[in-house]
Amino acid sequence: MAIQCNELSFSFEKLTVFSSFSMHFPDRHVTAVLGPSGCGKTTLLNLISGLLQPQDGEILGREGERISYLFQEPRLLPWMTVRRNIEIVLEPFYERPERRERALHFLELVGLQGFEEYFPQQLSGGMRQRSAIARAFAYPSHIMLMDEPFQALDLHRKLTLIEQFENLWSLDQRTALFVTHDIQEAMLLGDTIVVLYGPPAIAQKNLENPLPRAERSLKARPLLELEQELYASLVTDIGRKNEGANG
Amino acid sequence: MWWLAALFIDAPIILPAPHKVAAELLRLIASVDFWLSVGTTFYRGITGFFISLIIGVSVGVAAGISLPLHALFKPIILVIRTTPVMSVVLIALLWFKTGTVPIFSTFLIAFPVITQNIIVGIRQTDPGLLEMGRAYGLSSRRRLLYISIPSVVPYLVSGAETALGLTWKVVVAAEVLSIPSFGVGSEMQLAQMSLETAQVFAWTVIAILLSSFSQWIFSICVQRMPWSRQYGDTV
Repeated sequence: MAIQCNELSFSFEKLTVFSSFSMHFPDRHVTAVLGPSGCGKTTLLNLISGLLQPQDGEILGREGERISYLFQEPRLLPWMTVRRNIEIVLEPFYERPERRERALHFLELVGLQGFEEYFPQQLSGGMRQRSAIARAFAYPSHIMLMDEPFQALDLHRKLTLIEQFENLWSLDQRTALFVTHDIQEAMLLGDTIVVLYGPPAIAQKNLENPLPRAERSLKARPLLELEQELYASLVTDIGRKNEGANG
Repeated sequence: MWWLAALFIDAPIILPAPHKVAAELLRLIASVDFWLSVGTTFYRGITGFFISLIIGVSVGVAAGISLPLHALFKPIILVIRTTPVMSVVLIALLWFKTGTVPIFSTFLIAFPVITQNIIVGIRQTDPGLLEMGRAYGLSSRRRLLYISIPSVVPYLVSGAETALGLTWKVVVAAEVLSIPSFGVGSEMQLAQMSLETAQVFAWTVIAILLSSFSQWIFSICVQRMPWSRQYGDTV
């Protein structure tokens, strides 16, 4: 199911984050939303997830849909093993043996077999975020929201995690909204890349990824060209902001 | 050292020698009245403690969740916490029968400690985890069970431990002032009035043992609870 935002308006106190903002997120597509910090990316995710309510406008396509949410931090419960952490979000949908089986299956898919009974504090940051990815995919949802989930990791871990995400994605596509300020992440993961600036947020560019998922790599020529273009638009955005501040 | 000091002072009314206190202790243990006194004091302390626990947790949860209730309870708790123990006991004496005074005083001193800890525990619950729970559609019952309660448990345990320590001090102090028919504090006061210093010391040892015993039972109970399991060491 595609998600459609129509004429959204939302402000915090005096700060207008969205004013008549519209955007379309195609079904079973990863839409990467690229933009600097503070442009309203996280607010957009919170509006779509329902954690925040828009003051005006509507969001179509999420009625009765379950949503998986990948946060910047793993947000695992420290008093439960990683297996239990996944099982609790499955409770309304599966019986106990199925829950267990499903949790173990997804932990294995992210390469955490043997660590199922560990508590989050016993794992490294990368392993914790992998557990969170396993939870997001194990949760039977049609929509996946991702808020810079690879941000806290070093480049090597980040690329490993993106690869693992791709593996899971190839088995199970959902309507995904991936928010980031990292051009390379956006190019590797996004089928569509939207450049956002603000506040108030405005979608400045809407580009199709020139390469299919399997062929994407940071060295591929079409992506290098895309990187230039995205870089230029982010830099102009900064220029525009500074001008605004000076004027 | 105690023995040397006793030798040096050489006045059993001021500082009795350890063996005199031990002898007194043995003599006391042999009597039925001793066990009645200890039992009654223990009963009063535990009753006061459990009433504090139940009311402290209830008020703490209510005030932790609701801002208006917090505004209502905060000044009350502050006043009670700063009131001297002796004032509480003396006022209780005007209101209750002598046997009830220690229970009531314990309750009034111990419950704000527990309430305060619960409030802090609820406030300290990681908002990110609660948000995760809502994003994944966990019902409010599950969020309470899996996120809020486990966050509060360490605060509850430390609050209850402090409250239990206070319990015995307050119970004995209240008994000293109210002199109910049985009780460690009553016996202590009677011994003091008849200048039986060795006996006062003996009862003090009993009070310390009573307190240590209850702390020991408490720590065993805490270890047995499923949620107090260690989460494992950080790598």
